[in-house]
Amino acid sequence: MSGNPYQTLGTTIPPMLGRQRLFEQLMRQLTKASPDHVSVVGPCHYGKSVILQHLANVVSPGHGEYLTCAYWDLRHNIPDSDETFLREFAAVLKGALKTAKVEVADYIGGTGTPLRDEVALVLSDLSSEKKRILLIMDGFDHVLGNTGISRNTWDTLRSFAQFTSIRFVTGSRKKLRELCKTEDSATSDLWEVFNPNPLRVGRFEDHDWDGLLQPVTARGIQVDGSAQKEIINWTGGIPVLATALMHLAYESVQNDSTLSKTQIDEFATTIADDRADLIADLWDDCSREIREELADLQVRRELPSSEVNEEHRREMDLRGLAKVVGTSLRTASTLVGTFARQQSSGLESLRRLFGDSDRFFRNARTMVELRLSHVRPADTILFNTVSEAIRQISNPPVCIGLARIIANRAFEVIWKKELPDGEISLSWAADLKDFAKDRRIPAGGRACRLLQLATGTDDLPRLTKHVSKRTYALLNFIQSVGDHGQHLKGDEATWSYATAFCLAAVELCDSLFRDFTQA
Amino acid sequence: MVVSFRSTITAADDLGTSPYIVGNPVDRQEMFFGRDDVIDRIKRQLSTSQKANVILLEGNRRTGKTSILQRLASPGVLPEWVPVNCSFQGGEGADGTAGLPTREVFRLMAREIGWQACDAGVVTWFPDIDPPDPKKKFKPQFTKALAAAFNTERPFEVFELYLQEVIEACRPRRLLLMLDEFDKLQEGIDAGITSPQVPENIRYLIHKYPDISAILTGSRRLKRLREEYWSALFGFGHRIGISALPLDAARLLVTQPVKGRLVYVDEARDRLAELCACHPFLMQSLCNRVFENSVRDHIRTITVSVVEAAAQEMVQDNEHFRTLWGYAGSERRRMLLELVEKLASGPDPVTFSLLETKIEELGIPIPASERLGDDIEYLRELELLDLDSQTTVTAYRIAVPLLGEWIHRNVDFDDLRQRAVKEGEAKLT
Repeated sequence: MSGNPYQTLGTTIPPMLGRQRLFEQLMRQLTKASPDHVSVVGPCHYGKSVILQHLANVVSPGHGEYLTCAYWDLRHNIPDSDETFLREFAAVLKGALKTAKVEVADYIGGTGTPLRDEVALVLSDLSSEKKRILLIMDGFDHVLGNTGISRNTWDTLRSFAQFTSIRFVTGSRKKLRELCKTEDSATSDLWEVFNPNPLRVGRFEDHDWDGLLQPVTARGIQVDGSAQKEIINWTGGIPVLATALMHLAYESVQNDSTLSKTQIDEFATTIADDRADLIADLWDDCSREIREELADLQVRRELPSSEVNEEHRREMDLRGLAKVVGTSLRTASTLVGTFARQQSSGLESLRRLFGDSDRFFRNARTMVELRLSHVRPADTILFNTVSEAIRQISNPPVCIGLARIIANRAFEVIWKKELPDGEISLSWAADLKDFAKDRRIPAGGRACRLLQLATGTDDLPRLTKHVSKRTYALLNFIQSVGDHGQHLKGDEATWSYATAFCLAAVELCDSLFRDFTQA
Repeated sequence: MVVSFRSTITAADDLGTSPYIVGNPVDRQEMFFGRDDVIDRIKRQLSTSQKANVILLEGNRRTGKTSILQRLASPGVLPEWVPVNCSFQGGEGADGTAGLPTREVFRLMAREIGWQACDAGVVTWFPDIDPPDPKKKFKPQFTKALAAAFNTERPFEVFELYLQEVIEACRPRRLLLMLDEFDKLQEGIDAGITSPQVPENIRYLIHKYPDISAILTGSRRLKRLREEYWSALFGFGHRIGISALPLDAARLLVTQPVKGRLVYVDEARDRLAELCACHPFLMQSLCNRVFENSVRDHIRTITVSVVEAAAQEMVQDNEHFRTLWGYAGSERRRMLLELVEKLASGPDPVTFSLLETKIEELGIPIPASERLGDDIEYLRELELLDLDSQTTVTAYRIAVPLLGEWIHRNVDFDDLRQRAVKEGEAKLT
C-alpha cells in the first residue's frame, strides 16, 4: 500500500494524527492577546516534531498577527558557538521573512551593522506594525547541551524575546533549565520568559484515537470497540508503537472491512518480533529507576502505588508505560511489559554483580576481562600486557605502573605502521613544522603531541593513513596515567581508577585493530 | 450561596483565549493592576524637582518591575518626558563571558535612545556624522551611524556628545532613562570586562544634565550594591520597593479580565490570591491555568475546588518554583524552607529555636563563620519566608503557599538532608 500515512522513524516528519486537543492548547497559548513563549517537552519518539512541524505548516502562510513562521531544526548542523548560533538564528529569521516581508528581511546582512542590531531592527519594525513571527526551535536539547554556547547567547535571545513581534516555541526532551550543561547558562533570564508550565507531549489520550484512526476509517475500515481497546492494551498509547501497529493495519486490511481484535493481536506480535528496536529505544530512554520499577512490575504483576515515587508514577503514566488502577500500578503497554520481563532477569543479575561499590570491586576484573575477550589483538605483546594489567586490578599501584609500558608499546606499533622508515616522513614534515628540523620519532609527551597533530586538527589535515583520532584520545589518556603512575603518592591509586585505566587500555587494543584492518 | 454549574459551551459561547500574561512583562493597560501608587510616586518624584532625579525600583525577580517601566513608556503616561527603556541583556557580550564590555554599555544605551526617541517622534543624530537621508528609513541609518560613532576607544565621550544632541532634540520634553536590570552591570565589572568607572560615568551625566532623569531597576543585588559599592550613584536615589499587590488590586486582577466570561465565587477569588500571596506573576499564571481548565472542562463558574485543582496542576510541573528553589543558594537554606513547610502542620509554632534544634538533630553542621539567623534573613529578603502573623511568638511560614505545596510535592527530604550535611561538612574542612 503506497502512501501509508503511519510512519515510524523515517527521514521525514510524518503528518499529525490525533493530538488535536494538545495542538489547540498550543494555538491558544500562541494566539491570545499577549501570547506566551512556549516550551514543548516530551520524551524521545513521542511526536514533538510532528506537532511542531504541523504548527509550522499552519502558521507559515500567515495566521492572525503572525506574518509567518520559521522552523529551525537544531537536531542537525548544531551551532557550536555564540557566533554560529546568532548567524544561523539570523539566517533562519531572514529565510522565513523573505517571502512575507522582504524589505524587513533585507536588514539582515544588509545594513553593515552588528548582526544583533540587525535582528533587533527587524523585530523593532515588526513591533511597530503590530506584526509577529513565530520561531520554532526543534531539538533545543542539542544546543543547550553544547558548552560552546554561553549565557550571552541566551541573554541575547531573552532581549529578542522581549519584543512583542516574536514568539519562541522550543521542542526538547527535558525542561529547558534542566538541559543547561553549564551553571552559567542555567542562570540566564531567558528561561523565565517561557510559560513556566511546559506543554507536555506524552502518550495518546482517549480523545486522540479518532484522529489517529482517521486514515483507516476514511477507507471504510471499521475499527470495532474491542479492536480499539486492544490497540490501547498493546501500545499503552505510546505514539511510536501505536503508529507502527496502525502501519501494519493500513497495509494489510482491505477497504470497507472490519479491523478485528484478532488482527490487532497478530500485528502486535509482529511488532514485538520485528520492531524490538523501537521498544528497546523506549526502554533505553527511561531512567534506571523507572526501568527497574517496570521490571519489578512484570515480576509482581502489580505494585501498590504508594510503593512508587510519585514523580516516577507520573512519568510512567505520561509515557504510557504504567497506569494507576485503584490503589495499584499496572503495566499500560503489553509490548513494553513483555520487553521489560525479558530485561528483568538481566537487571537483577547486574544488581547482584554491580549493585554497590563492594560488589563492583569484586567483579570489575571479570567485567574488563570479558570485554577483552571481545577484542581481536592488533599486537600480541600489547594485548598480553593489557591482560596482565587487568589481572592486577586488585593491586592498583602495580596495575597503574603498567600504563607506561602499554603506552610505549602502542607507540611502537603505531609508528611501525605509519612511519615504516623509522623517521618522520617528508610529507609529514611539510605540515608539521615543529618536527621538521629533527625528524627522529620522539618518545613520551612529544610522541603524544606528534600523534595528536598527525591525526588531524582544526588547522591541520589528517596525515595518518591508519591511526584515528579515537586511538590518539585513548593513548593520550593512557600516557597521562603512565606519567602519573611513576609518581604515585599515598592512596591516589584506587581500584576504580585502575579499572578505568584497564578499560581504556582494552579499548585502545580494539581501536588499533579497527584502525589497522579498515581499508 | 453560589452553586457551581457545568454547561457545554457551544461555538457561540466560546470562552475565547486567555487574557492573562504569563512570562512576559505586562504589555496591555487593561492587565496592569495595583501599581497606581507606584506610578503616582514616580510621577511626583519626576515633577517635584527641576534637578536630576534617580529613582531606584527594587524588588525580587518577577515582582513586575519591567511591567512598570513598560507602563511608564506607554503614550500619555509621562507626557513631559521622552522615556527610553534600556535592558542590559541585549548587548554584545565578550567571548563567552557574562556581562557587557564598556563600549557596548554606552553603544547599547545610545541605540535604545535613538530608536525609542524616534518612536516618540524625536529624531536624534550624532555630531560629526553625515545626516540621515530623509527618504530612507531612519532606524537602519541610525544603526549604521551608531556603529561608526562607537568605533572608538572613547565610548563615554561619544555617548556624552550624543546625549547633548538628544537633550536639545527632546526639548521642551526631558529624557527619562529607564535602565532595567541595572545590577547586571556588576556582572561585567566582576568579570573584568566592564569598567568599574561606568556607574560613576552615569552618575556624572545625571548630575551634569538636569534634563535627564533615570529609573534603575534591580533585585536584591541592587540593594546590596546600593549599600556596599555604588553609593556614589545611588546616594541621591529615591528608593521605591516593589513587592506583592494590595489585596483589592489582586482581586481585580483575578476577576476583571474575565468579566462576562467566567464568574469567580468570592471565596475562590480570595483563595487564588492567598495561594499566590498576591504576587502578580504567580496570580497571572494561576488565573491562566484556571481559565484553560475552564475551557477544557466547559466550566463557567469558578469555585474554590476549581482553583485548588488548578493550583495542584500548576505546582506539579512548574519551572518557576524550581528557579525560586535555586535562588535559596545553599542546601542548608533549602533545608530550612523544607523544615518550615514540614513543621507548619505540627502543633508548635515554627520558631527560630525550633528550626535550630531540628537542624542540629539532622546533623547538619554550621561553620563558626555562618549563622542560621542570616539564612533566615536571606530567605525573608527573597520573600520565600515570612513571619507568621497567626502566632503570638516570632514564628515563620513559607511566604507563598503555592511554593509550600511545590516543596511538599517535589522535594525528597532524605536526599536534601544528605546534601545539606555534605555541604556543611565540606565547609568545615
